[in-house]
Amino acid sequence: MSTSATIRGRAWVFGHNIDTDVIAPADTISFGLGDAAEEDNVKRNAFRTVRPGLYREVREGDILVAGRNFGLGSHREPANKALHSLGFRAVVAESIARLFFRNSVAIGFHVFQVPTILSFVKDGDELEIDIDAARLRNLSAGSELALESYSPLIRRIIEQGGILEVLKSRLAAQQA
Amino acid sequence: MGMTIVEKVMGRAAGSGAVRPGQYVDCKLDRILAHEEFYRIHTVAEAAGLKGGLPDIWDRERFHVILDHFQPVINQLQALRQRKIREVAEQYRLKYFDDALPAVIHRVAIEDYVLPGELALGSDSHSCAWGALNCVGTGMGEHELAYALVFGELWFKVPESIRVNLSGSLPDGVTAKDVSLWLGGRFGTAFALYKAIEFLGEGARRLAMDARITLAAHAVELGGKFGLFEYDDVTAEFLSRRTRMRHQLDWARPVGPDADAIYCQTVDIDLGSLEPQVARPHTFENVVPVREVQGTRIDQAMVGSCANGNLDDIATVAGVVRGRRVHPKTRFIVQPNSWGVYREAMRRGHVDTLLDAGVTVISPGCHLCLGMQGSLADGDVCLTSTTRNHRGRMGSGNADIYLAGPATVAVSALAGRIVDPREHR
Ligand code: SF4
Repeated sequence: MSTSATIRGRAWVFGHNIDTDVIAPADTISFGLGDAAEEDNVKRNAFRTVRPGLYREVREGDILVAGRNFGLGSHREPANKALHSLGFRAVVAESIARLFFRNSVAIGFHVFQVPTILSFVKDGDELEIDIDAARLRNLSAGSELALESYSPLIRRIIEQGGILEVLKSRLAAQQA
Repeated sequence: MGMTIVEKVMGRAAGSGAVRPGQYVDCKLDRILAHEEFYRIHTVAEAAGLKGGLPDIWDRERFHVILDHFQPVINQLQALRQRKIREVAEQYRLKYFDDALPAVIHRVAIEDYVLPGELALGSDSHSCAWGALNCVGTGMGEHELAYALVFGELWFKVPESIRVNLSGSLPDGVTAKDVSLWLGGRFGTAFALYKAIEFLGEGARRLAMDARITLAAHAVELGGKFGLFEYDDVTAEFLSRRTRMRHQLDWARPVGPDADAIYCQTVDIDLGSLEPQVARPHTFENVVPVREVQGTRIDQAMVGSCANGNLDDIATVAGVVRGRRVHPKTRFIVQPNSWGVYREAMRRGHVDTLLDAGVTVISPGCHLCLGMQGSLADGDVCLTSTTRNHRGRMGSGNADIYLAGPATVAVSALAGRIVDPREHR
């Protein structure tokens, strides 16, 4: 997935414990074929039990903001992918479930944990993330805060575009 | 300085001996198991530009594929997918491929594949269940498993560990599920986020393997990466009954914590003081003692899943329903979590007892837990011993799912409403 140094878009604010059954309902993946039809189905139904029709509203570059333990539950990667296909380019949450965090890194998607995020952002605010400087700006409120920078290892995986790009370069190095 | 179970196992797997929480390490893997998502591992590799998928699999003795979530399949899409999985399995020349062996992957893993002291990954979030067998197991997504399958290694952040000290023994009507639910209610779903939980103490040693499986599986509902038990006589006895893969039994290297291991938190639980718990919709932390939801009408009751489709869970249900009838307005469905469990339940007469009482017993697998069978309609209320009560998990987003132990579920199924199992005599 593409990574760029600045992400700018509207904040969509969710509460605590947004689980993967909410993000990508089981019947939409139904352990499908992992093809375009499945991706489209997951996208249209993402968040349908808490915010139906979200897919019509999100614009590319938007940022999902959430409370505690975002993405808990099933390991399902289609949930991670759904955020990207909806148009989101980052998640900033009080905390992020372990598998959701790892899967995001593995596909090169930005995830940040900020314990005070819900008091910093209102739904609809315009946000900007400067990845290199590790800063989050709330352009609507005129405020700014520091993000915890990635560990060098995680940064390298995200910057390369995900773990399969790392895999490919390792294979290439072995063959060289 | 003393080390926890996870620190010892990751230290060994990283080839560096001593590791500390927070450290990033590359670990060699002892085992990988995948279910239907094996197909997605293949497709994400292809989508990333690897022609034909993964170039190879690092060790065929240590990789197992088990079709569990949709076994038997219920529609053409699933049927097509399984056909594709079979083709891919053949293409990769897998040595271990359990195709028509209906069961939940985690029970099969514990019965047949994983070993004490191993560092193992599964394509499923409840792979932490393997910790019941002293295996340091956890779930991973398909992108990372693709990498892991090629190189036999992956990056880890060494987790901090929480020590859950168990003492005493469970009173009648209270089960291991109630311990997990109590922890969820007390500490929330982020209790063990990025951490390992070790269940220690004389109370843990007294728990049977099936109860350990419930607790280890639910580590992930508490946010945890691992849920671990020590190796002891119970583990050894369980392993001694393994029928497949006996040639690997002496690969086991049981690992216990040092007496001076450092834990980030210690929680003491006197099992004897617990009462039955219920998680109300829609999270694992929305927990109250059963008496606070007594009388709630239920349309459906279920016992099953990786956490609670074990033999002891079914025995608990049989003990409650023997000689009685399920409430006429309640559907009670039980799904064992492996053929081994199913057949043993039959041999002991539990299946007959359940059928006599009007319980529907379905073939082993994940169906109930995901609403693939026993789907819920708008307004339905379900009380279940499966793993998750997330909104929409079993069909309608307007259904209410309550979680409870198998004793509570069985007693309530007879009454058609939530009842405290301790009042059932
Ligand atoms: S029983 Fe439920 S939680 Fe366990 S592996 Fe199957 S679907 Fe997942």
